[in-house]
Amino acid sequence: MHLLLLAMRNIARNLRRSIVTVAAVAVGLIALNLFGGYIVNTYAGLKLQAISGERLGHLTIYKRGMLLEGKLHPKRYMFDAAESSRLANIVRSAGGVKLVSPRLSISGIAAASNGRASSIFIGEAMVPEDMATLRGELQEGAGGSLTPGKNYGIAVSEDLAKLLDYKLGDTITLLSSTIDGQANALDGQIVSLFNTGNAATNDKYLLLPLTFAQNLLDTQRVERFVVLLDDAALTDSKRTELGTRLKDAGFDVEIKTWQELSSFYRQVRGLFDMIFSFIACIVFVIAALSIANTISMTVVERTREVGTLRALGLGKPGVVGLFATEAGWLAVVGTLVGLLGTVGFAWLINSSNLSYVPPNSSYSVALLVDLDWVRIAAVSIAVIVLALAAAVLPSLRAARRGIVDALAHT
Amino acid sequence: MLAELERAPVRAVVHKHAAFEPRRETSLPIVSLLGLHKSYRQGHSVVQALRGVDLHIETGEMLAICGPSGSGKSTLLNIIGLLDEPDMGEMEIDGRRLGELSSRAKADLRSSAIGFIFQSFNLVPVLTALENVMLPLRLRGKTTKADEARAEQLLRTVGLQDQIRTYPDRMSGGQRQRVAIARALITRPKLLIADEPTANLDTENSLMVMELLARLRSEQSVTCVFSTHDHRILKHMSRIVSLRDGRITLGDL
Repeated sequence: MHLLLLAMRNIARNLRRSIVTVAAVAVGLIALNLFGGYIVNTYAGLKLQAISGERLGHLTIYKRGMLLEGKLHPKRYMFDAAESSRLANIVRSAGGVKLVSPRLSISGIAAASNGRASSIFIGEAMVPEDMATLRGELQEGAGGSLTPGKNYGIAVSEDLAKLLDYKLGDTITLLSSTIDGQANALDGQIVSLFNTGNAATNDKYLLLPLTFAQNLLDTQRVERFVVLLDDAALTDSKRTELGTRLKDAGFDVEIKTWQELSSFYRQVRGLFDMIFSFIACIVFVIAALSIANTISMTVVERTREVGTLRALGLGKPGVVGLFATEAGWLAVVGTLVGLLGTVGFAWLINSSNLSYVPPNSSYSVALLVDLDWVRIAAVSIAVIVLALAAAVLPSLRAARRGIVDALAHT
Repeated sequence: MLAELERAPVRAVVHKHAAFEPRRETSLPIVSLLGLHKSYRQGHSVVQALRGVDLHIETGEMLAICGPSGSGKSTLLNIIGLLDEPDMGEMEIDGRRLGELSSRAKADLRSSAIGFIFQSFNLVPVLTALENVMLPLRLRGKTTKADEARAEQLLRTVGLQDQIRTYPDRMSGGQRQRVAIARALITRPKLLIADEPTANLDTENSLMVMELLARLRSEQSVTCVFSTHDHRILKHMSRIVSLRDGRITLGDL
């Protein structure tokens, strides 16, 4: 009779209690794993949204000081045409770079098509030809699109279009200040209407061709360069490498990752990670208490049996080992049931076409679960270790009891 | 004396006795007890279970320790079986002085030289008869096919050849006690200790168990020590000692 088999038979002795304990562990794990899967899916969506939807790429290169004083002294912190060309060549030569895309931010007033109304706009200018590369896995049109070769084609956010009664193909008049502070206006043509996905920006956001924005600002300069890498996992190492290369070439730049620039991603991740930790703590406590309670009751019920085993030659460590093995079995079975339940419920959720509107979002997103096996394995191991730890105290109590005392227990 | 015991009554300290010497006879004693005292706490009071017990048990004896409830029978048996320790006195088992042995050595001696039969059988309910018999060997380490064969042989010897794979809850009291006897004998002990082995059995099963033990004692050359107040089984004994209020009052030495 192997200890593992003996322990397994022992937990089957009071089957109802063992089932309740296993169920407590399994249900807790299912809840935790599904929530973990949901946040992994959400993180992946937010990552894609940040890199491709918000067009942040993986890295953004600024002249040092641009983020603090760029609005006050734009000329000082923008890259001129010569610098832009040199910088782009250096970055491309680093290898592993899919795209180096110059950018310009712009803001001003957009006039209604009837000329009687206007609204403020904030715009992002980029090379239309870069758009397809940057879009990546995002579907065509998501987040707006510019038309390659059409240097006056402008993408307008849906709510702004509604405010100013714009339709596709309409002429749009944009008024802004040049880089030297003079008023300037240009007409463009609406080539795309899109939802920014954010209620706060969907009534003011524009996408413009870089040359159009440069004409409006009356400059050949660009504000920053967005770098898209072949492999997102290399973001940090590439930042270091590019920083070194550009410094060696005489550029004083600062390079930001997409995580640093996407405050929404950071906030959501921070919130979800905290909720996950909170739920994990609750699940761990429930699992540990359930198992400790079961083992405590078992120890009391089997006191005389422990005395018999001790009399027959089982040492104190053997007693602890026996009850710890039983706790381990409960945790392992609970974990396995939890894994099966997780896979089953994940399939059910993913095939139910559930969707919801996230806070501050202007459209609904699919509710999906991406099972994170590394996280699931870590949680499962943690539950098993906790179960073993939870069994130690009642087991030690059983082991420390005198043999005669234990044999006399009724 | 009582005040001294109240100060440290439950410590298992064995004091050496200057006059202690094992008896030199043709049949060497397997157990020698001299001046054993044992007290234990019961609530706020101290109960003196043994008050200077002297006893020699010869190899091959079938000894009954009789006495009313509370006379100290079980305490004496627990001490002889190394399940408990005396507060005072000298003790030698199988030629080894207990005062000189560590806890581990005592546990080893207990599992190798002593077999136990309990009043309530104390079988492990999740184990079959065969597994219960094998249990003492399993607890000592890995078992062999030969061990299993011996366990089966012991079960046949106690008349349970048809119950080898049966669980205890499907057996009668007599059958369970016979499994317990086989379990006690599996380690080839020199000393078999039985605490009221027939207390939970009817007359027929009591006689059957005692006849079986008497037969096994002669076949396996094992010394048996019983505690009992069941007069039906006394005729099987080679010696009877009577215990009252923690002292041997009849048939001692």
